Order: sequence, then structure tokens, then C-alpha cells
Amino acid sequence: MTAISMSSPRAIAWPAILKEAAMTAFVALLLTIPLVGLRTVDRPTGLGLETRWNEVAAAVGLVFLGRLGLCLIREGHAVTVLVLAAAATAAGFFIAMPTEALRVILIGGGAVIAIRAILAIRTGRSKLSQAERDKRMDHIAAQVQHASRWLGPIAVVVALAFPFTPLADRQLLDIGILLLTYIMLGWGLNIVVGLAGLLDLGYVAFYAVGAYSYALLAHYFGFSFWVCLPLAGFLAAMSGVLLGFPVLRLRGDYFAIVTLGFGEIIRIILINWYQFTGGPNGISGIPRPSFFGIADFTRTPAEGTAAFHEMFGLEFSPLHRIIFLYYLILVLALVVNLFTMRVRKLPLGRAWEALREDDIACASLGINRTNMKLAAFAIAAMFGGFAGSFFATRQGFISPESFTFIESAIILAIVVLGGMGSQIGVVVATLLVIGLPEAFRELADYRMLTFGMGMVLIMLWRPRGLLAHRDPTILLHGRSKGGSGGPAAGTAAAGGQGIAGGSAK
Amino acid sequence: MEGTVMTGHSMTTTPLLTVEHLTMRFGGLVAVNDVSFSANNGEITAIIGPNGAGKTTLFNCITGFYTPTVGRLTLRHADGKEFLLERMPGYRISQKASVARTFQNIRLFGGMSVLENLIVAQHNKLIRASGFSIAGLLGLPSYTKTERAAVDLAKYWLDRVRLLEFADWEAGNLPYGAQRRLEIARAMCTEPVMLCLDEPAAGLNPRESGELAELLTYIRDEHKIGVLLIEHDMSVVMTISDHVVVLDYGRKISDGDPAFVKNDPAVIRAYLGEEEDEELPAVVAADLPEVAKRAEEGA
Repeated sequence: MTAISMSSPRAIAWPAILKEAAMTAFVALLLTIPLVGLRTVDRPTGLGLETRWNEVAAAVGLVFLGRLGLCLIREGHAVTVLVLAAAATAAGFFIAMPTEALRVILIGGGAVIAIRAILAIRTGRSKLSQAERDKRMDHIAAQVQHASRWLGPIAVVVALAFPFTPLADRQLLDIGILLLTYIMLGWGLNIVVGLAGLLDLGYVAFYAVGAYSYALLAHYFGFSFWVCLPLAGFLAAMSGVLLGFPVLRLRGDYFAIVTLGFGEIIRIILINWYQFTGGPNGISGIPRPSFFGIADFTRTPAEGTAAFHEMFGLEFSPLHRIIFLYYLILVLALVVNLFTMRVRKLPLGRAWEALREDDIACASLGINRTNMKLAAFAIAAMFGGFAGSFFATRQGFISPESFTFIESAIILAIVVLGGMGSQIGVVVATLLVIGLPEAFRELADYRMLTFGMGMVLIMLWRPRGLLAHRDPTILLHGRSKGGSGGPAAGTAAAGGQGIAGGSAK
Repeated sequence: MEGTVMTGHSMTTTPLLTVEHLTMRFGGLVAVNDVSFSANNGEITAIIGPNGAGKTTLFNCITGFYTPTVGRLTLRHADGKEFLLERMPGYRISQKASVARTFQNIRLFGGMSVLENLIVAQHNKLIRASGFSIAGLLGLPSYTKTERAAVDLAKYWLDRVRLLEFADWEAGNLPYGAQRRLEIARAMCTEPVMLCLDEPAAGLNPRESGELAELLTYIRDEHKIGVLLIEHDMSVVMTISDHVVVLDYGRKISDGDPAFVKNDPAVIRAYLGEEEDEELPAVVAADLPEVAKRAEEGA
């Protein structure tokens, strides 16, 4: 973490730099041999191995050059590096590489190093210290949080208008629905994990309960989606209470393990209760939602019901239903968001946050911890149930496959990466965790690798989550007063000022 | 009031809190052994004793964090309502019996603002007003009114502990002394009839201890509530306490007003030790009726 002045470029210590770059390249070699160099392929004779040594060589070479570039920036040759990195980026665009992935690495890596070089030239230092970087990132997080006041409504308007833009084709709408589903689940889980501070590793169980509630009620009793939606939410909330009663007396790791177990129990019940749930075959033919029970989205609706396109005098299009589903999940997600934003300013939400901060102090203030936690659990489960029954009606088919632990892990990752308790953080994290892999489908195998790399980078740079910044829910002096150390006193500077202020009195 | 030794301390009013034969065992360890005393309304009762004497255990029994093995804890409100604290689950003692406490190692909601800390303390009042969140979610005026009153109460206490200008700060960023004061303010925001403070002067400098003593006398005199205090800082204890209870090895060894306790040989012995361990106890016991009585009770 040494910041060396840029004023005078010194003689370059080539042996040291080359050694450092070689070390980095060696580490890259160790990593790329198993991850990139070997690939299993299906052969008629069985599983075979395919080697891709040129890709390994290219990756290691790029890492070597990249590290060399960084070292040279540190040694005061930022301008040279900038030119070379820009050249490399350009080369990535025009010169054919062995694979698409390498091209992306070349362009991305070149760009990153070029940016570093520009920063070094502008600020006169090669690197920010950890504390300084944290401070800046916190500042950015606070800014985003404040900007979300007007960014939020704009995002909602954009989301509302999206289906009517020429961009909106079937594929993009589907991705939009997927993103919104995860945003809703993230916001739901945020109530338990972010606000109440209970690490729930089995949130997908409530999603499953909601989905199966709708599917089974529709299958056995022929209930429509609009009847089942509240019922599914209710049943999921009840399952939350059922789980909550025995579990909430546990704390920390033990709590997490039991919720993990609960998620698996639900899935295994669904697989094994063959006569009732269809077991691993799942349930198919789940009815699609109607237009609030008034009209159907089919070309030729059944006797006695109207067709949506006839009712509004439109040309029939299968897209109508997709757009309707898009709006449905958008509204459901916004309901969750609205609820959370309001409840944070109510005693219930404040008690949740207090429980997260200090459980024992809450008891000493006469807060009924069990009830508060149960409420958090039940409400989050209810929203999970809503999302589940939406999922069931969108897919038309569900099976226990859709409710594995990895789903819980992804939703939890969204909440944690976004910054616990941050609403806008969930949106950003969903775009990263779900959106990026969708956007980079062409990268095929490397998709998950880049995903993992992204996670590592976030954990290195923002261990508390991307937008981990909390605004007080109530202010005495208003936002304007206080300047830098005022209301958003989440910084070390403010703490220092506080000590000074305290001893001055 | 059998079993309550009241030496050198007059008992005029009915006590706010009566502790009778309280015993707390952890397996083979007897942390509190047959302790009885009472604490009055509008008085500061200090519990002192060497390290490991069982003070904090006694506190945790009173505030519901432990359920005592044996004994009875009776709290009487001014309106005559009685609460048997040993039978109530932890949070109810604050909610119904209105006993508030602070902690030896400060337990604030560090990530929340100072004001929020005080609003959370008024949780029970507010959640009722918010119709268990339903009226609150709908934004009904009854809730906003109660919340405004809660903010006013918080402001009053912030002003008292001189933290008003820091109201919007993160509580965890306050300096140590301010955190101690905030914890007391938070406890007072629950509008208790008895305030239990576990070593409030620990880690404070002499000037801050002086301010603390002022604050506690203010709370006693203006709010007319009982204060129960564990403290090591004798300058604080001796200046503000009306009544001192001394514990040693889980037993009560002395009970009375500060002047009495200060000169009680049993207390001096507990704090300073005795010169010749083997013979002295018998001699001292013979000299001191107090100790003799204790020995009889113990036998």
C-alpha cells in the first residue's frame, strides 16, 4: 500500500519488476491450468479430457504483461503504460484472438490498466490506500443512497414504460421478468436478513410453498390465480411462523443451519410426497393468469370468458400475456419495496433494526423479541410466497428442481452484495448477479468464471456490500445541517470529530 | 420484613423493590447466596462489593436476564400494583413492571442514530399507537401524534445528557462518555419506576463521573424514581447514595447508609483483607454483632 510520488521517474529496477510479474504469472498459471486448460468432453467411449494449452499460454502472457504494466505505473512510467494499454485494448478490438474470452480479457484488462494509468497521472500517485478507498467508496454509496430519492422514481417510470419501447422483444421482456422476480425475492429476504439481521439460508422454501400452494390449489380445486395469490401468501406466512417458533430461540450460526435444513426439508417433502405433489415430475399445466379474472390471453378463449385482445380491440399477440406478467411482477415487487420503506419508519421496522444491532439491549427495553422476529419471518415468507405463485403461473410448470439450495444462496448473495438493508443495493446486485450472466451468455463457459471473479472483486473492495450505507429513519436537525460530519456520520472523520467535540466540552 | 437486615438505615416508606432470600446457582457455583434487601422509591441504592461478589448476577436476576434459583423479588408501583419479577420473562420486566437497565459493557444500537436509539426505547408505546403497524402503514394521524410525543421525550432526555446536537449521529461514533450518557437516556425513555445501572462510571474520567453523579441525583429528585446502582467508583457511591448494600462472595455483608457502611469492619475486611487469616475471624465475629448474626443464619 505504498503511494510513491510521481514527480520524478526513477531508473527502473527491472529484476524486481520482472520477478514480481513472473510470480503473478506463475499464480495465474496454477489457476488457469485446471480452470481453463482442461476441459471434460463427452465421448462415445466415456468422459474424455481436452486440453487448451494456447489459451492457457495466452492468459498467462496477458497476466504477465498486465502486472508489468501495473509495476511500471508504480515506478513512474504511467504515460508509457497508458499508451501501451490503450494499444492493447485497441488490438483486442481488431486482431483475432484464439477465443472470444481472451479478447474480452484483453480489452477489459487493457482498459483497467489504462484507467489506472490515467488516475496515476492525474492524482500523482499509483494507488489509494485501503482506508482512503473505503472512504471514497462509502462516499459514493452515500451519494447513490441520496440519489435514490429521485433515481428510484425514474427507474420505476423507465420500468413502466419499457414494454412500450421498440426495444421490448420477447427475450428482453423475459429477462426483465426474471430480474424483477429476483429483485422481489431480494427485497423480501432483505426484511429478514438486512433489517432483522437473521441469516436465513432457506428462503427458497417459502418461494416453494407459494409456488406449490398455487399449483396444488389450481390442480385440485381449480382455483384461479387471483384467488390463489393471497392464499399462497398466507400459507407461506404460516409456514414462516411454523418454522419461526422453534427456530427463533437459536442465534447466529445455529439459526442459519436450521433454516438451511428447513429449505431442504420442504424440497425433500415435495420430491417424496409423490401422490400429492407429483414428486420429481412436478406439476404441469398450471393455469396462466387471466386479466384480473375478466379476460383471457388466449386467441380463442373458453366458453363464457372474453379474450383480452377482443376486449381492447387489439390484434392478437402472444406478447400481451408476457407484458401483463411483466407488469404483475413489477407491481408485486414495488409493493414489497413500498412496504419495507414505510415499515422502516415504524416501530416494527425500528425494532427489527435494533434487534440486528443488539438483541439483548432490545430485551432490556421491553421489546418482545420473539414476536418481532416472527413478524419479520412471516412477512418475508409472505412476499416469498407471492413471488412463488407468480413463478408458478409464469412457468406453467414447477418441480422441486427449481427450489434447490442454490436459489437461496443466489438470493442471499443479492442481499449481501447489495449491502445489507439497502433497497437500491438489491436492485444493483440483481443486475450484476442475474443480469450480467444473462447479458454475457455468448461467453458460455466463462460466464460463471467471470461471475466468480466479480464476486471476489466485490468482496475485496466492498466487504460490507456495494451500497452499504444506512440513513437514519428520523432526523432531528434535518438533512442540511452538519456538513460533512452531520447526519450521515458513518465515517471515521465524523468519529474523530466526535471525540474532539466530546472532550472540548 | 424478616430476613432483611436494616442496620443504620431507617425504613419509612414501603420499599419499591424487595429482594428476599435471593439465591442464584450456576451448577456448583453459588453466585448469589441468600441475599435480602430492599430499595426505596426516590432513593439511590448502591450495590458494591469486590470483583466477583455477585453484583451483576444479582442485577441480572432483578432485570429478568436470569431466573433466580431461590428467592422472591417484589416490585411495588406507586399505585399499589405488585409484580413478582422472578416469575416474569425478561422483556416483560421492562414492559409491564417498568424496570429499565443499562449494561456494564455499553449496549447501544451502534449502527442507528442517537435519536433512533431513544425512539426504539419507546417501542411498546409506539407499536400500540401504530396499531401493530397497520395504522402506521396507512399513515393514520393517531400514530404521527404519538411519534411526535416520543420525539419530544427523546429531545428532553437528549438535552438532559447534553447530546441534543448529536441527535442525528450514529450512536456507535459517539465518544465513550457520551455513549454511557446515551445509554442512561435510553433507559429513561422507557419511563421506568426503577432504573438499574451497571457500573455507569466505569471508564469515565473524574469530571465525567461528577457529571454522572449530578445526572443521577437529578433523575432521583426530579423524576422521583428508584435508582439501583452497581459501582466501583467510591467517590460516586459515597456522595450520591442514600443506601448501600455490600456483597462479598455472593453474600450480603453490610447494608445501611454510606456513613455506616464506610465504617463497618466487615466491609473493611472484605475490601482490605485481614492480617492473620487463621485466628482473626473468630475474634472479629465476636466483636461484631452483625457478623455473628450472619454466621448464625448461615449455620
